[in-house]
Amino acid sequence: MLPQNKMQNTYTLGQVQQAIATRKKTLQPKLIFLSFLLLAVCVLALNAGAVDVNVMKWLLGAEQNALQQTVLWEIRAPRMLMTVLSGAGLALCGTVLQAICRNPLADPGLIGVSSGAALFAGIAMALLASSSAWSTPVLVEMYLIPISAFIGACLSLLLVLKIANAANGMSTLLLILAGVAINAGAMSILGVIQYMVDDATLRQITFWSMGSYSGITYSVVFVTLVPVIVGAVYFWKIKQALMLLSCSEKQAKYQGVDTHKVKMTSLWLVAAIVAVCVSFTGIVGFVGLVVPHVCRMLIGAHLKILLPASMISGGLLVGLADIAARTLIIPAELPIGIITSIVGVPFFLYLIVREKRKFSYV
Amino acid sequence: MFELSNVTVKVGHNNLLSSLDLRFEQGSISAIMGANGAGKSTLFKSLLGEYPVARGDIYFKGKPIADFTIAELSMQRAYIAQVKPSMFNMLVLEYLLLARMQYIESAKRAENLVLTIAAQFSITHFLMRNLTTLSGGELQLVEYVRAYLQVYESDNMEGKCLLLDEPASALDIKQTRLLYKHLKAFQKQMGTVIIIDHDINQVGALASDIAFLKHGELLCYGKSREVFSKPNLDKCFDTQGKIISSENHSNDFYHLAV
Repeated sequence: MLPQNKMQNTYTLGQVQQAIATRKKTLQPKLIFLSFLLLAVCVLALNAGAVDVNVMKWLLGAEQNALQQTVLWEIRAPRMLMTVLSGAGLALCGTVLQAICRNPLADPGLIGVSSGAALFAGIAMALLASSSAWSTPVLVEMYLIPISAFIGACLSLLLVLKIANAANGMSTLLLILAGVAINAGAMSILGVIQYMVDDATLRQITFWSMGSYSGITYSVVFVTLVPVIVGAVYFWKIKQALMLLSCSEKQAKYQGVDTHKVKMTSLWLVAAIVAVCVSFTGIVGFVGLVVPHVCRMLIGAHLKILLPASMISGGLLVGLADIAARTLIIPAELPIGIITSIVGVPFFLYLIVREKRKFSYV
Repeated sequence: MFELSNVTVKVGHNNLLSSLDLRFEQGSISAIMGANGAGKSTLFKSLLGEYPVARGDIYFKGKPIADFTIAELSMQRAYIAQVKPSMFNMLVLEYLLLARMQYIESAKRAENLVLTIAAQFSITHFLMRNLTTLSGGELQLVEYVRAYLQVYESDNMEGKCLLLDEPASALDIKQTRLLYKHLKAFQKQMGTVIIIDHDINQVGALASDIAFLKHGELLCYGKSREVFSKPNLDKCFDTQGKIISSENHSNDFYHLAV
């Protein structure tokens, strides 16, 4: 018997069917495990902080004083929800962008959306600082920064799309190049602004661009919830189209994917998600890039698994990072972007070294 | 099946195809032959609707190709590309399942279909492997199965068309033979095949019709046993060869002395 024939006989139809079944069985528990982990982090997040609040006792029916009530429900709960929500959103965006751009380095920062948001937030802060001589209405002061960040995110996406739009559809390579250029442009203008403003505003801009979840209210959570939910549902529905896109754009079109429509819708949704996440909390870097990779390596590359897995893990990472941010140096707070990087980079490096082989998909 | 009427494709000032009139019949295996740069791949891409046609019309089943939606087309014609782009990691099984995306059917049915067809083409043993671990030849076989699955509705392949751009470039002779057998079977099921292949002798024996292209123009088109001749081949490729005839001209061989 030829060795080749032998090899063909080692995998029969029945065995393949069995392998498919086992695969399905092993993937589900991983997701369930992740969800429980996320739940634990949520409880931990409600528990942790400068004021002593014991969620466990409250769950068991213990009395709480007014301060504890307020801290728990007006400060920590919305903040916890926002960290989980925006972490999930950013990781979702990263996963989708990596598929659309067929580029493992793609993340929300790459297409220039977050730097556009940062630039406009910086401008808003500079304006607020210079206008402090005369009084601005409180409402304006509260919402000017997130709204201008949102406008910045949308403008930079429009610009990127305008540049990347070629005669026969949008070129992904041009998209990435345009994103890089807009990143650089926005950052240098932001540099000029930082150079001109006073020290307090400079500090404010710097902290904003490293992210912070303090002062999140329920209304902010709801505003963020909408695009994240819409995005998650849409991306889940088109997961097959996204997988084909991640193989080859032309082939995806020949196989029936309206690539132009899918790309445009996805990019606008990604921009909306990034815009709301970034606008209220500043830039929490690293999540969109690394979480999809980690999940791909630890759990699986199929979007059926990868989409939920990266959303849960994104929420997990940002949730944990925020706990660290506000408990490490009580009563002060660390910028969360620093923590996601400090925790994420070594872990990512470790994974790269351990699983060099699996990076062959790049 | 496909019909081109007076089609001209331009890039800049160069005519990639000039005033091409061609008609690919249902149930035929048509080979497109031509030297490098003769416009073979351009012709394919026009059939796929990728290039804007400067002049002329392309019809699919008698209707202008633009009248079909992307999804409709995907279920009636499948394309195998010349160069395989790099891919993210994915199981062969998952990749093949994606070919069934346009069909409204249960996941279970799609999976069973993939398993059945994979068994027919004897690739069951690498269904659970990652795409990135396949060799070039294995990948081409998977691509063929993918194309087949993409247009599969029943064993009757009437109205289905496969566009194959060098589907055998990485296959060894045994696998090539296997692939050609599959193509013959596909033709028997009433399917239509349009193929580009550099091994003109192999594909000449396989094809029922041959179109010769040169500098974007059609030299001649006809039944392969009639047009597979020294004058046509010499002119098409700018060579001086000779034909080694076979019985009833079904397996003629064009030979070039080195």
